[in-house]
Amino acid sequence: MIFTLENLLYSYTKNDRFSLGPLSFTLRSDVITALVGSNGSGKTTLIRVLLNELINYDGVYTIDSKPVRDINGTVLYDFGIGYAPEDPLLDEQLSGYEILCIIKEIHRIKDEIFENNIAQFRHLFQLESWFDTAPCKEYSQGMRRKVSLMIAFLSASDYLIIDEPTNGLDPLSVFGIKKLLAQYKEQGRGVLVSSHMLDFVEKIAVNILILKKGKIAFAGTVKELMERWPGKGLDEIYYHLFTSTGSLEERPV
Amino acid sequence: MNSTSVQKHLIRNLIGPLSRKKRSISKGIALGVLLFGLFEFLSMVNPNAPRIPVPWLLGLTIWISQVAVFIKIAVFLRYPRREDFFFVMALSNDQRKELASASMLLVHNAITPFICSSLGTGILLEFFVFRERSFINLLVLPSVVIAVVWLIFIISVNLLNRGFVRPSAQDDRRWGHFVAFPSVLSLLIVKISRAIGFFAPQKIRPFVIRNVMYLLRTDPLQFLLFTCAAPVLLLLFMILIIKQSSPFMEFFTLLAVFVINSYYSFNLKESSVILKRCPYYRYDSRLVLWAHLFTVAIFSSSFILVFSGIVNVHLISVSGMIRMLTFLIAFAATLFISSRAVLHPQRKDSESAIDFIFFILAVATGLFVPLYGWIFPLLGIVATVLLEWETIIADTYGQTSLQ
Repeated sequence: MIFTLENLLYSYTKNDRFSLGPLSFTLRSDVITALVGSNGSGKTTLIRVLLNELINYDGVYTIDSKPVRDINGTVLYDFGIGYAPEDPLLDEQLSGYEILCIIKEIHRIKDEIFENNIAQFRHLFQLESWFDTAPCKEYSQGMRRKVSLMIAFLSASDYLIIDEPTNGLDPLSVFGIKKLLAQYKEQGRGVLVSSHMLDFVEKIAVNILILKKGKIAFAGTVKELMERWPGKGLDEIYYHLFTSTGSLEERPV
Repeated sequence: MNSTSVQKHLIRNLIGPLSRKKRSISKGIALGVLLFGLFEFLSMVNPNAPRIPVPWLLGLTIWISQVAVFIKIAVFLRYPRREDFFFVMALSNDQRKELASASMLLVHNAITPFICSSLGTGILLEFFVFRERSFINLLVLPSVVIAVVWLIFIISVNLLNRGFVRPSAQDDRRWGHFVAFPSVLSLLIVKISRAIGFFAPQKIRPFVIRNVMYLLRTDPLQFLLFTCAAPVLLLLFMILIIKQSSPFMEFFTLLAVFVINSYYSFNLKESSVILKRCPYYRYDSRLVLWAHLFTVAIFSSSFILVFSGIVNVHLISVSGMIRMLTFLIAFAATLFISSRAVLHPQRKDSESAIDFIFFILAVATGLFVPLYGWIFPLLGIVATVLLEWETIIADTYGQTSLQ
């Protein structure tokens, strides 16, 4: 699956000072891509455009050469995309396990695969009795994040988009996500992960897309970026990029 | 506003103004005369007209009203609407419990003189006009009716006070950090939901499972009461009171299904709001409607069994089969009419009255028309589908949720 954006431009209102784009890049569904940028740089807006939640944009956006605007249905379901938003939206009356049971039925996941996934989640996210017994409205921020991530992982048959996955998570669960994403990497599955945690990005991502005030500051592989500033960590490079006026060359991811 | 005026305000807006004692008594006498005249005197004049014992009819109506009032108060205190009763939202769980019990007491105090006076009128009419001399009919029956009224009141207050029905969405009945069900019950909810979902077509299965989970999670006790206890009560009512050939058999069965489905719709209407918001659920109003119909049909199947079990003798004939066919179409129409609520999560409670009028016009009328009665409920189904067509067509595949 290939997401292609050509001169895509989006702004919330006509006189809005913030606008996203124009952006031109392609995203492949077989690698992990990190989406990085300061607050308000347009990361979540870009994700919402990619998911066809925001449709009043100029330019062209296609998935596998199909214009997304013409798709009659949800991008999430039709393209097998799992999505964990920054603010988790949960079914408040049901427990986390109950929601996952419904997701299993929606995506027609086999019992054995489902049970294996749940066992893995229980282990990696340190899930306790609350996961089975308490309704989501009683969950803490971290618990909600975990359930939201599990929904996304379970729904992602072809691609996964996660927005700020480590927000509110304890160190053990952050480690759990890293392990899950590492598995994805080994299996050649694609993920778009938006994060401020640069060490996290450095370890798991192959490609990186850096946004600065709605425009692309860098698009390429993490390796390429590191090679431009030999001996420096990603956080130092990021600092340099955002404090200097110049931007790096734009190119397809 | 002191606590008594708060209760009165609440009751006035939820149930309507409660009559004073004198007015209650005079209303009771008037109703007693009307009911006895309608059902008992008519059978004296015309021997073919069915004779329905009025104390039972009155008792049943009052019992259903009591349960409806209890549910309305309990549900409302859990989910107060901001625009109507802002003050309730600020109350703690204990204050809500107190308010709920006091409100039940107010209602009980208002209906007791009413039912006593109407039953008293009935006893006098039976004794003097109908020359009834049976001790059981004159004294035991009315006493049983009043005793059950009192029993329902006591049970409702206890259910609220002991926390079996939570009067607020987030209460202090906590073990550990949050309100949770015991793990056995949670597992049971999942098992039951998946078992019921197994019988549903693949497309609607996720929504059916969610409906069952949601109903079991929100109020397991009321769920049990409606699904298990109501058919038993109905069975008793039918065996004791109504003739097998009477169309009232169908009417009361479907009325019970209508009331229960309206209750489920109320809960599922709230759940539809979340269903629309969560993009991973892939909201589709057609599937939601079918899933709701399937869920309620499964839960109402006990009523069909009760009905077919009692009238089975009459089914082995052409007229009996037509009767069963009419009943089944009317059953489908009842489900369709009372399921409209789930398609409109934001609709007002008052719109339920329109559903009831629909029910009376399409279902009740059809049941009392011989031979061609099935046309009425069939028209009811067609009318409901036409009425909801735009909603069904517009709200598909999450189009509304993703803008």
